[in-house]
This record gives sequence, structure tokens and C-alpha cells, in this order.
Amino acid sequence: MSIENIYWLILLIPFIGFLINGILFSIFFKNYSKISGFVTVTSVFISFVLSIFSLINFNDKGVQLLDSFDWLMIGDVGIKTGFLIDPLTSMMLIVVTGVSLMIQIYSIGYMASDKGYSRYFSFMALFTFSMLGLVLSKNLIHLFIFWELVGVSSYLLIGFWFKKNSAVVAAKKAFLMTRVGDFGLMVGILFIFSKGQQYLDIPTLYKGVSSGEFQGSGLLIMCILLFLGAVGKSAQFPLHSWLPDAMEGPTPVSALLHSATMVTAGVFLIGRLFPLFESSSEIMVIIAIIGGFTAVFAATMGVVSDDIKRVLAYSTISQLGYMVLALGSGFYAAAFFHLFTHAWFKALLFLSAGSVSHATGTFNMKFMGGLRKHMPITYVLTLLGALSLIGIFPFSGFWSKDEILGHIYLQNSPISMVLFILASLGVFLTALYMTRVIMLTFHGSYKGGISSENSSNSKSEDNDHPTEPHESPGIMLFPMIILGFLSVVIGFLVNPLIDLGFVSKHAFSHFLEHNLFFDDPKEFHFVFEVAIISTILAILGIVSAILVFKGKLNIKNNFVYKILINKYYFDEFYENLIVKKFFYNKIGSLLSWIDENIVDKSNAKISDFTIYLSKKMSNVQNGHLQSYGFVFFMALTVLMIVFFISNLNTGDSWLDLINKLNSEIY
Amino acid sequence: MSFQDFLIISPEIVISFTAISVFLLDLFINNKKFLVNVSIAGLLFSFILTLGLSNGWLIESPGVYAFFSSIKLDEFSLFFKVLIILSGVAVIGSSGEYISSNIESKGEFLGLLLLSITGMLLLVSSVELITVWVSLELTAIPLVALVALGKNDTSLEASLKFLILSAVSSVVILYGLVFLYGYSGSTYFNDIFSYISSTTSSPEDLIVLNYGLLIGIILLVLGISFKLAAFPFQMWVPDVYQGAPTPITAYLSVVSKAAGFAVLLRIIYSVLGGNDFSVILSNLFSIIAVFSMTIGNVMALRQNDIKRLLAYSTIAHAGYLLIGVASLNISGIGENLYSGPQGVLYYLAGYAFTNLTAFLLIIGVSKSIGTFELSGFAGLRKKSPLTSFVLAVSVISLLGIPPTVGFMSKIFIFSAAVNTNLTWLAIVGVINSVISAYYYLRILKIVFVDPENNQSEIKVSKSISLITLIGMIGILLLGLFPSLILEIAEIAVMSIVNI
Amino acid sequence: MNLETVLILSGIIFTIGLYGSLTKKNSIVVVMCLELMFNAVAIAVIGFSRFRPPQVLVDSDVLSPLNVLSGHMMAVFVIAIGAAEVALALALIISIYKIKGNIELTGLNNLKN
Repeated sequence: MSIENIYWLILLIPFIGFLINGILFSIFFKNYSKISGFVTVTSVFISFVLSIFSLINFNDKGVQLLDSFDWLMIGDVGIKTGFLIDPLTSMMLIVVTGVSLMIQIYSIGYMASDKGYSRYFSFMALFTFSMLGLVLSKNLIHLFIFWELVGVSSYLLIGFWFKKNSAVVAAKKAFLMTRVGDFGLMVGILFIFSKGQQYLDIPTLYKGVSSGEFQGSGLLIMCILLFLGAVGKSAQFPLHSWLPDAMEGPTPVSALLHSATMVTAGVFLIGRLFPLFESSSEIMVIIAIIGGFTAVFAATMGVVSDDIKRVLAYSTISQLGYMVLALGSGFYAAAFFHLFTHAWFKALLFLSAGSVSHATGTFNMKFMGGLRKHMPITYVLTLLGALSLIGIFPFSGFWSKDEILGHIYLQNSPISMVLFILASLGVFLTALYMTRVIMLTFHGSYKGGISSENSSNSKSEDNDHPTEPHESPGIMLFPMIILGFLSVVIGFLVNPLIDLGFVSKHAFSHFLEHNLFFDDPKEFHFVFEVAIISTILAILGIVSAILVFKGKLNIKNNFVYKILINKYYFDEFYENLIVKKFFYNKIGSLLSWIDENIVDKSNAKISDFTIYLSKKMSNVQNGHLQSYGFVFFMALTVLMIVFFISNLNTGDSWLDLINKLNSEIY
Repeated sequence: MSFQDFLIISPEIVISFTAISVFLLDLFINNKKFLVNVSIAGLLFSFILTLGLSNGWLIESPGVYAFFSSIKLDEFSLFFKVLIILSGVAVIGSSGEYISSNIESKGEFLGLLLLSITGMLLLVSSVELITVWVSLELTAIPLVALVALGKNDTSLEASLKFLILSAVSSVVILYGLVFLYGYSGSTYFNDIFSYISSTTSSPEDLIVLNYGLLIGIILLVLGISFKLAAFPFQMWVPDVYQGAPTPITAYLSVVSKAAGFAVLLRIIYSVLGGNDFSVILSNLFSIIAVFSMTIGNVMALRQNDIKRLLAYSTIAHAGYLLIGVASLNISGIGENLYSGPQGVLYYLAGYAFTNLTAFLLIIGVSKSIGTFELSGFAGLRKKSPLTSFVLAVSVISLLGIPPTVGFMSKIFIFSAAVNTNLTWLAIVGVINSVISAYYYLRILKIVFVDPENNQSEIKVSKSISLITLIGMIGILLLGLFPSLILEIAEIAVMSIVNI
Repeated sequence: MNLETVLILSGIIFTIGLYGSLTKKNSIVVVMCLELMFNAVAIAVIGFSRFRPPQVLVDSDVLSPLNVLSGHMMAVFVIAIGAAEVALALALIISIYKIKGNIELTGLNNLKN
């Protein structure tokens, strides 16, 4: 089997899984819907194994550009299907299929009693397919199609419990806010198209950038538009506010889409078009500042939120901010190293949150506490994930985050100092909110879970005794244990400081640089003093969180707390000011006036006329065959005369014509 | 005449023998289902032979002449043969139930249909005037009898209208052919072509010197408009479509039209070839196209009978197809990927899938609801979701909305028109598509929104379900991967061009 | 006698046939007029064949009786197929007569609009 077919299989097998689940089990064999979980797991597993094969193959062959066949050709403007296989793609294939596999296994347990079981698994398979398509695309048009497909599957999955109003609202919000970014991306792609249709092909685009085709004034606008797409998808400031709301979906969905894979699509896009961004120094600064700001900004909101999934969502935004920051500072390898490690431990944290809510029935941390005794395995795993996220030696987050921090530190410019301070602040805040999560959830005493939440909201009248929380079933713990193991070791294993024998020094970073646009191999450093600084900040964060938890420090009810708990009033800003005041009242009413008075009225006139014409014409169709024949011969005569007159040479009369006809014969 | 001559027309021989055996078996056999099976077997066998001809199993390669050079087997004729035979399989395969309940003379129905298919197969491969005309009559005369087989008032009325108007059209075609023959001196396409080429030094000369040929061509084109269901000979279409047995309507709307376009394209490109009649012809086709589209779409707005509605829609589609024919950019063939005729071939293939799916579903559904009135389809969504879905896909394709083949084919046709400086024609086409949205969406509204008004249970036979499902897959597949057909279509068009 | 005369004759007959087929009420008369039109074409083709032998083909290598006589052959086919159409038409008219009791074309307009 040729390598090209392997990539086709990686891409299409989840799609087949989607079709089987979506058509067979959702419509025809509803009684056998339990099989659908197995179908999705199997299809993702096959894709995962093939991804590993392809990674091994990639190590042998290097970057490959595979063209399969012409997909759509209009004139000489053509789009070919094909795959761009570079280190980024290979890495993303492993991340997407690997994390997806773990989460699908987990979902079998988590979603077991849900009515939409096979619908859920068909959407998950669809998402995996779209994400794989996104990372494999060689062409910006395909990339955009899959980008939108990813958005659609995200919409479907956030709104999975569509009977819950908040889920529907959240799905709509996520879809609309990412659309703002998608619009930027689309216009950006059209910009690239306007420079020449061949540049839709990404490798050609790289060549075009390196030969200086994209210089000039349009470059910055083009890059800002493309970056807007990344901002929307990766929930960066100011389009961040959809991601916390997206937690309304099932927890495995949050783990897969809204932490590990889908939201990294924006980061992936910046990486994919890195040469283009790199050629404009202004956009790089903008990217870096947005990333650094988001990293801190989101973390502050995470500190006060009471919903465990929302905290993790803010944490995701913040970590994505780190990746964007790294890319903006030009540290391609560091950014994707962090993406890689983050995927595993953040998935783990989400799955733990799911496991906790499985036991308590709620996501509100106020009603948890003391779960350490009831669910020890989950506790240990959450701890591992949290330590990794905080960046404690030797967990994987430590290595990737310090690589970003270290590089910024070494850059030594005024801007980079600001960025470094922002990033360090982020480290402190990360430690703070993660420790808070651990303390509120697992320490102290149990506060009754869902039942006490309901009674505190006085929704249900019967005040049950809190049921005893219990450890999750094995099928949920198994993927968590694997992810926990990976969170601990993977950072050091794939990108070690020293030569390990089976893994060479800085293997991962060097691997990533083997792509189409980096010519000279770079040096990678581990900066010792930065590691010390970040560790101190992290410990500081942990300690202050513990102090707050023990009641030594009181942070509630002051001005800052109020701003944070209201998410900087961003939702109000978007909702009241932009949507209601501006769009709804001003633009909306204007448009509806135009619609009613101009468009509708003229439409009515036109359609009335057409109907009138139709009535008149049907009088000719009177059912008499001889009148049909008459119409035919009339038309024939008229057309004949018209064509003869129009083709008579100037000066010729009808007599000349007849003479010509005669002269032809003799 | 050598043995190879017979090999070349072996698909036609097989089908006509099948027709004769069906006539004979009908006398002895009571189980009429068996006759359907025999017909399908014959068609499939001839399909295999056609594949054999194209792959070089039977003859060395396409592009050979037979029977005193009156028949040419080339990629173009193979393309249409495959299209015609497969459409024939679809029509006969899904009409088993219809025949057994609605048609008295079952053997005749199948046999005549097969004979008509034979005529079409000969028509698409003939390169000589007499052969063209005889094959045209071979397709038309059995169809007259088939339309009459409904054995009721309307069916007979439709049949007599069809007979007389078809005779008129064939006289006009014949007069055109006679002029072509008379002014060039030969009945062979190639000889006419070489005569035209030898007498011309410049395009203006050509027209002045060959008014006789011009008369012939105009008569021919207008006569063939009967087969295409296009202006000015479109008026029989709604009456006959409504009166004829529904499988015959499906057959007329797809196969007859395809064969008409085949012979039209072949005459334009083989007889006139690179000679610059193209400006005159292009104007002629543009006028016909505009009238066909407008008449078809506007008249369809007020129809309440679904067969009649689709009949007007067929006229409109003939108009769209003629836009492609009008984009006769002969010099562009081979260089410009999307020349008009290539788009026409793609359109015809897609239209075969789309329209057959729609008509066959109507056969299945109307049998249950007992009417062809649009209102009878109300609430179909509740009664049979799958049927309504397939119907929706085919209607969407007729309307031309992505990702269906209807959309892609309109794109290719319109862009071909723009490429040959016929932008105004493309704009008229787009406006017409907008008009057509009204009645196509009305079908969807009735099927999906309106409350059901009768309690009849929808029961679509297995063969119809299977064939329409295949049709739906074809609609989507060709819409997503147009290159599947376009490449073949390009080779096919190249094989008939005389330059 | 020359080709012009023959073509004019053909044209006159064709016009008579056309007029009849578009105006007569009786369907058998209409069919007869159709037959006239067929015959008009047959006359034209024989005229062409008689007065305009294929000069272009004299110097080409495809000169054969088939080419020289193709006009005559065409006329034979026209007559044969015209006969077939008439036979079919008569059969149809008989069926219509059985159902409706007359053969007036004006009564045949149930399918319209």
C-alpha cells in the first residue's frame, strides 16, 4: 500500500465511522445503538495506529507533498486534492488521533446512559474526521472547508443536549463568535488568492513568500485577517468569551474539542502559514502581545470561577495564549511542543473533572470537597495533571512552558521583557487557580454534590441526604491513567535536555524544524535561571492558594473580585452594546426597512408580472395540436428570415440572394 | 462488410434480438415478470458488449467505421451508448410494477421500448444522412405506439399529437438533410465537411457561397428541437408527457433528449467542423435557448400536475443545455478545459441521474396516492421520510443547488458561455434559474411542510427504491467529483471534431 | 427541365401538405397531408440526385454506386418510412374512433395549459 493511501485511510476511516453511526445506528438500527461507541473507538484506533505508521515513515522520508487528483477545475483555476505531510502534520495526527482515542474510550463509560448515544459518537467521529482533514490539507480551500466542518461539529457537540436552553445558547454563541474569525480567515484566503491562484497551494505559498512575492502594504492587512481566524478559533482576546460557555457540552467534548484539539486549530493555522506571518515583523509583535495578554487575562478570570470546567476553560485560553505568544515571538518549535504536552494533560484534567461530576452530579466546586477519600485514583491523576499544568519539575508542562519562557528571556528586547513579565505572571496565576481547584474539590469536607446544589437553589423540595460519591468505572479510569502517565513523562521523553540514547537531545524541537521553510537548524537552550524563577512563582501561587483556602487571606467582595467574577463585563459588552444597541436597533431596523419597502415591494411586482406572463402564455398552449404546428412553422419562418437578412452581405438584395442560390447549383 | 462491422453494432443487434424475443415470448409465457428480466438481461449484455468495444476487447480501438462508413464507433458514441443503455435499464427495471398494473400489452411495451433504444444507439453512432434519418424514425415510431399503450382517452390523445407533430418534425429534419445533401453532393458527414472546406477561402465566403447549406442547417436544427423538447417545437412536450405512461415520460425526458443532443453535436462538429458557421449557429442556438428557458420556467409556475410541471422543467433544461451548445468555441476545444459541448455531455449525464430519480419516484409514489396532482404529495415527509429525502435531493439538483450535479453542470455551462463572450446568455440563464426556484421549492414545500390530506400508505417497490437510491448517490457523487465525467466528456467531444 | 423546376414543384407540394395538415379537421386528411409533405421531400431529393451528381466526389476516392445513387436511396427510405408512419397513424385513429366515436382533431384537447 502506498503511503498516500495510508493518509487517505487515516482521514476516511473516522468518516466511515461517522456514516455508520449517523445513518445505520441513529436511523435504522436504534436498538443496537450501544455498538456505535465501539465503532467510533475502532475507527479512531485504526487511524491512530496508521498515524504512528505514517510518523515512522515520515522519519524515513521527510516532507512529502502528495497530490491525488484534480478535485475541481474551472478553466485553469484548479484545486487538487492532496496532503501536505510535514512535521507539524505528523505531530498533529498523533495528537488528534491519540487524544481522540482516549476520550472516545472514556466516553463509552461517561455517556453510557445517554439517550443520544449513537448521535454523540457519530458527531465525535465527524469531528475527528474534520480535524484530521484540517491538519492534512495541502490547500487553503480544503483547509478552510475542514476549518468550517470543525466549527460545525463543535456547534453540534456543544449543543448536544439541545433540550437544555443554556446549551443551545452556548452553541449559538460559539458558532457566531468563531464565525467572526472565520470571516477574517476567508477574506485573508481571498487576499492570497488575489495574489495568484497558485498560492492557494500551501507549499507554493511558502515558495512565493521566500521569493518575496508577498511584500508590500497589503501584507499586514492580509496577515491580520488570517490571524483573526486563529483568534476566533483559539479563543484569544477579544474573541475569547465563547469558550467558557462552550463547557455546556458533554465533558468529553470539552476535553477533546475545547482543550486538546479543536481550539488548537488557530495555533495550527499560525504554524501552517508561519512563513507568511514571519515575513511581517509588525504582525509578529501583534500576535505576541495578544498571546501574552490573553495568557494573563484569561488566568485572572480562572482564579475566581466556581465551575470546575470553566476554570479549566480559562486555563485553556491562557495556555493557548502561551502558544500564540511563542509563535508571535518566532519560537515555532516551542509553541508546538507546548501544544503537544498541553493536549495530554489538559485532556486528563477535563476527564478528571468529568469523573468528579460523574460522582457528585455537579460541576460547581462549592458543593464538592473532600473527594480525596472517595475517589483516590481520580485525585492522584488530577494532581498529576495540575502539577504538569502548573509546570513543576519534572512534569511535562514544566519542559514546554519553560522552553517558551526561556526563549523570550533570551530575546532581550524591550517588548520581550514585557512579554516575559506577562508570561511569568501567568505562571503564578496558573498555580493559583489550579491549586484552588484541587483544594476546593478534593480537600476539606464533602458538601453534598448535586442534591445540595439543588436545595441551595431551592429548586427541589426534597432535601436528600447527600449520596456517597464513588470512584468512576474502569472504562473511564483506564484512559485517564494512560493520559496521567503521559502527562508525567512525555515532556521529558520527547524533548530531553540531554542525549538519552534512544531519544536524542532536543529531539522534538529538531524534528519540528525539519519542514519546508526553515533552512538553518537552530540552537535550543534550556535556561536555568528562568526555570528557577518560574518554579518559585509557581510555588508562590500554590502557597497563596492554600492560604486562601485555609481562610488566612480574604480576597472576596472587593472591587477586583467583582470585575473578575463578571468576566470583565465582556459578555455584557458584546450582548448589550454591540448586539442589541448597535446591530439590533440601528443596523437591523435600517435593513428591515429596506427589506420591507424596497426589496419586498419590487419582488412582489416582479413575481406578479411573471405570473401574469405565465397566464398569458398558457393560453397559447390550448391543446390543439394544429396550433402547436402553426406556432412551430411561424417560428421557423421568422427565424429563417431573420438569419437570411442578418447574413446578407451589405448591398445584396433578395434578388442577389436567389441568384447566388442558383449559381451554387450550376 | 466484414465480421468486424457486425461486432461494432453488436450492442444494437443484441437489443433488437432481445426485443424480438420479448415479442415472441409474450405469446407463450404467462409470467410477464420474466419478460422484464429478459429485457434487462439483454440490456446488460449489450452494456457489457459496449464496454468491450470501448476497452478494446472486441475491436482494436474506438474510432472505426462500419457498414460502408455509415456508422462510426468513437468515444462520443460510446459515451452516449452507455448513457442510453443504463437509462434504459433504470426505466425498464423500475417499471415492472407499473407495467403489471397499468399496461395491458406488456410484451409490446417492453419490446417497443427496446426497439426505440436500438434506434437511439444507432442514432448516436451514425455519420451519414440516410442512417441518421432512419435511426431517428426508428426511435420515434415505437415511441408513438408506447405513448398510446396507456389505452385510455388521454393516452391516445397524447399519442396522436405525438405522432403528427413528430412526423412534421421529421419532415423538416428530412428537408434539412436533403438540402445538406443537395448542396454538397454527398450524404457522408466527412465528405460534406471536405466539400465545405474546399469551397471556402474565408468565413464570409463560406456563408455567401452556401446559402443552400445554411437553409439545410437551420431546418435541421429547428426540426431537431422536437427531439430536444426545445423552442420552437416544445409545445407537444407537456401534453404528451402528461398523457403518456410515466415510465415512457421518464424515457422521453432523458434518453430521447440525450440522443437529440448527440446527433445535434455530431452534425455541428463533424459536418461543419472548424468552418466558421459558428457565429450564425451560435446566434441561432442562443435565441432558441433563451426562448426555451423562459417558456419552460414561466409556464411551469402555474402547473398543478407534477408530470406536467416536470415537462415544462424539461423544456427549461433543454434551454440550459442549448446555452452549452451555443458556446461553440471550436478553437477552444482541447485548450480551454470547459468548452460548451463538454459541459453539455456532463449536463446530460447528470440530468439523466436527476430526472430519472425524480420520475421513477413519482411512478412509485403516485401509484400509492393514486394521483399526479401536486397536492397529493402533501405530507409525504411523514409517510415516507426516505422517499421524500431522495425526492428532495433530485429536486435540489434540478434547481441547481450545491453539492448536487445540477449545480456543477450549470456552473460549467454558464462559464463556457462566459468564455465565449456570451455573458448575456449566461445572465439570462441565471435569471431563469431564479424563476425556476419558485416551482421547485414549491414541490419541496408541499412534500415537507404541508399537512397530509389523505391517509394512503406510501409503498414504493423495492426496484424503484434501489434504482432511485443509486440515482441519488450518482447525483451527489458527480456533483462532488465532476472530473469523473468531465475527462471522459472531453475525449468524447474531441473524437467527433473535424478540423 | 432543370433542378429549379423540380425544387419549385417540391416546394409547392410541401406547402399544400403543410397547409392541409395545419387546417383540416379530419385526422385522416391530416395524415394524407403529412404524406404529401414526405413526398415533396422525396421529389426534392430525387431532383438533387438527378441534376447534381456529386462533382466533388469525382476526384475523391470514395466514388461508388452508393454515393452516386444515394439520393435515390434516400427517396426509397422516405417512401418506406412514410408508409410506416401512415400505418401507425391509421391504427391510432381507429382506436380513437372506438373511444370517441369520431375522428375530429378539434375534439382532442383534453390535455392543455
